[in-house]
Amino acid sequence: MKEKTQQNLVKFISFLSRRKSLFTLLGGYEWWLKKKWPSPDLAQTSYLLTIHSIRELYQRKKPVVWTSLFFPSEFIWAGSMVPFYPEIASGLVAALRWSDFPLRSSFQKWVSADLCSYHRLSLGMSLLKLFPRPDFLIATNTICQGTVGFFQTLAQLWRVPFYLIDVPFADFSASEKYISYQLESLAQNLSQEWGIRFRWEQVFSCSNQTRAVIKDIENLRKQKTIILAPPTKNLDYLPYYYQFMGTRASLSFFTQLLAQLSLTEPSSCHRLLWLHLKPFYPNPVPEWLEKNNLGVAFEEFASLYPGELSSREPFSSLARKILYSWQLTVGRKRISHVLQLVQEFEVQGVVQFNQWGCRQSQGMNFPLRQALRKQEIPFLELDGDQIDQNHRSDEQWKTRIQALAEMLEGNR
Amino acid sequence: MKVGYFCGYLPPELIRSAGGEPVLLEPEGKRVKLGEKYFPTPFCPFSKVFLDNLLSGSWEKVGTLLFTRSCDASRRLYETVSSLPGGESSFLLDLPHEVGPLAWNYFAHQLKKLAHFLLDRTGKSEKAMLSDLEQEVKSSLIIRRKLTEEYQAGRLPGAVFLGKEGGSPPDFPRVVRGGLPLFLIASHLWVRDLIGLLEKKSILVFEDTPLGSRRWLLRENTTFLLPPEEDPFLSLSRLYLEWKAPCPRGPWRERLAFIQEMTRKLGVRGVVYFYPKFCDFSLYELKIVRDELSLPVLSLEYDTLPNLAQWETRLEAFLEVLTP
Ligand code: SF4
Ligand code: SF4
Repeated sequence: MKEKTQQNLVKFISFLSRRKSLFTLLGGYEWWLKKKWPSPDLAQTSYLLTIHSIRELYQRKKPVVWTSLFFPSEFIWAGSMVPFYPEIASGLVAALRWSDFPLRSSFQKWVSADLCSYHRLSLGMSLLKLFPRPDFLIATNTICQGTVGFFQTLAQLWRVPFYLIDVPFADFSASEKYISYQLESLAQNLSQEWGIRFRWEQVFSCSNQTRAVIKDIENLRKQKTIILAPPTKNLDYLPYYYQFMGTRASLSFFTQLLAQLSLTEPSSCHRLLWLHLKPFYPNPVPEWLEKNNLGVAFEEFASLYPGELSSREPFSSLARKILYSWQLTVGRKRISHVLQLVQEFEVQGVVQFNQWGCRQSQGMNFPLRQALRKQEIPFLELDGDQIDQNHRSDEQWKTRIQALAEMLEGNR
Repeated sequence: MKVGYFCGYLPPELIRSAGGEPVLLEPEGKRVKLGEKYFPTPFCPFSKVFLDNLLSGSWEKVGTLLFTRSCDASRRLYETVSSLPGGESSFLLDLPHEVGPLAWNYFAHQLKKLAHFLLDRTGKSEKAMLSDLEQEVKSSLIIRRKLTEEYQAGRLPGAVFLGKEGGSPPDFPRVVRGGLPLFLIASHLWVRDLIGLLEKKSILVFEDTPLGSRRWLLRENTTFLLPPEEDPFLSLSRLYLEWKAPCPRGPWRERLAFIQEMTRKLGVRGVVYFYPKFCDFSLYELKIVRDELSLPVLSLEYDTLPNLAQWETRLEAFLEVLTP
């Protein structure tokens, strides 16, 4: 599409996105869809939820809160607010093959191409005023410190308050207290300034039930012949693991997924553990994996906090949930977690997609490689970018996937 | 015992009170070979150069290394160093990202842990350390206050703050030459090279770097009074989190206010933003500086090697715009 046409189209969509009444009309469409699909399958459930979320986010009847992946959505749902995860939404924009324009827009406004593309794309979508306007921002810096710079820039662009939940790196009990106090003072702040009232009971109970279903899914996936296909598909379900935890939407989604998984045909493919995320734009990686008889047994981002959320101690239990992300972010803990998953899911190889702008994960590659080599577990690294197609390298991916398959065949 | 550190949030006051000798580490530039093995291409050049210096024996006499949880690169650098032989003598100081009473208390607790780590190695008694620390914090505030006044009055330009090993204060006041005043925001590497280049072009350069003034200066709204804290760790914590000049890690409003205040007081004509490739904090701050500061900004990027010729060309073009 020509640049000029694209700019005009963006202006038009951005204009429409600010017309709240338009989104009220979506309510009718949602009602019609529900009639049409009385018992929706997984794809239909996802579609319905997308329409519903778009309506809630753009209609703005409740405060819209932008947040980062490891901030528990239960906190937001319990305050009757609507969470928006820009990092998740970036994946969706990329899947729609629409990432180029916002990425270019952010670059033109001094957002460096060396930053993480999840953040660059979200900044582009913000500059174009296409993402829903936030009332305020809440983020944790648990997974990466880049998130802080990203949210600070969002606060500067949208001119809205930003609340950071600072997550330490060591010392569990001091950290739990520190995070719990921060959550409590945030809740007080929001009550005073925004009139938000928190009702934990229902949201926590729903989250705990969902967690139990996810645990069943995990147990099923530990069986040697069970594979969730196509490979990496489970990463498309991340919104249910993060954004919608604590809602009926996640609970019913995972209940359906569990039922579907119980009926899958036994598989004899090589089992892999998938680290980090995957390219979200259309790409042939899943197909190549499948063709080479490789399946994904488990994804590290699907590892869930094993404890219960308790409405008797909401802030401490949420703090513990946030701290569970140390499994992904603290080097030593991540490596032993990866080795544990290798054992539990009986995988034969580990794959990591190295995201170009992600310092936190790439900075850990050396010790991770060493630990896996020591245990003689093949480790496949795919370099590229999960959002920005300019860094894709299909040929390299194909060759490396084939090499891994050959190695695993040889090991049979 | 020599205690090496590089982050501006590691208090030499504490190292000294605990019986250590603080050594501000300034890695030397050379072709990075060893560092590349540990970190990928899109990664902090400082971490690579640091690791290279460490592994090639530049700091053999430094017994203990201190790191902070600031950026992703620095925590990975700590993890890498602590996994190497001898790595058990390194320590990661957990540095909160926010300001306010919660963060001050948390940081005070972490500083205490660092003190015990050091005392275990130096053998000094806790009691002696506590009384020395109180004194250290008091005199540090007096020195910092004086330096801030001198700096703001334009009497401490150039490299005067740099290379003061162990956090000892620079000599002041200085005799000042004339020249076009510019504000230099930079990181750890090649700062001396760039200041040299700027001075060669008759520029009166005021640096804001972790090797120099940023470790010393106080914020504008600082009361300059030592609060009546009973706990010297809490005083120290507040000195670093609340009063010391903030760094690009933020919080961005405070950081921006600091830059605006300094550039206004110094009457500089422009800003040179000298940043490491792949440094997230710098990349985000550069955008905010460009958007929010009403001064011309020259951005110069570097990786693991200095590139004086290229910087000079860019600088000359910038100066032409500033002094037509
Ligand atoms: S991909 Fe890495 S840098 Fe980007 S948001 Fe995730 S953890 Fe942070
Ligand atoms: S702040 Fe930037 S330059 Fe300093 S260690 Fe971190 S990534 Fe490297």
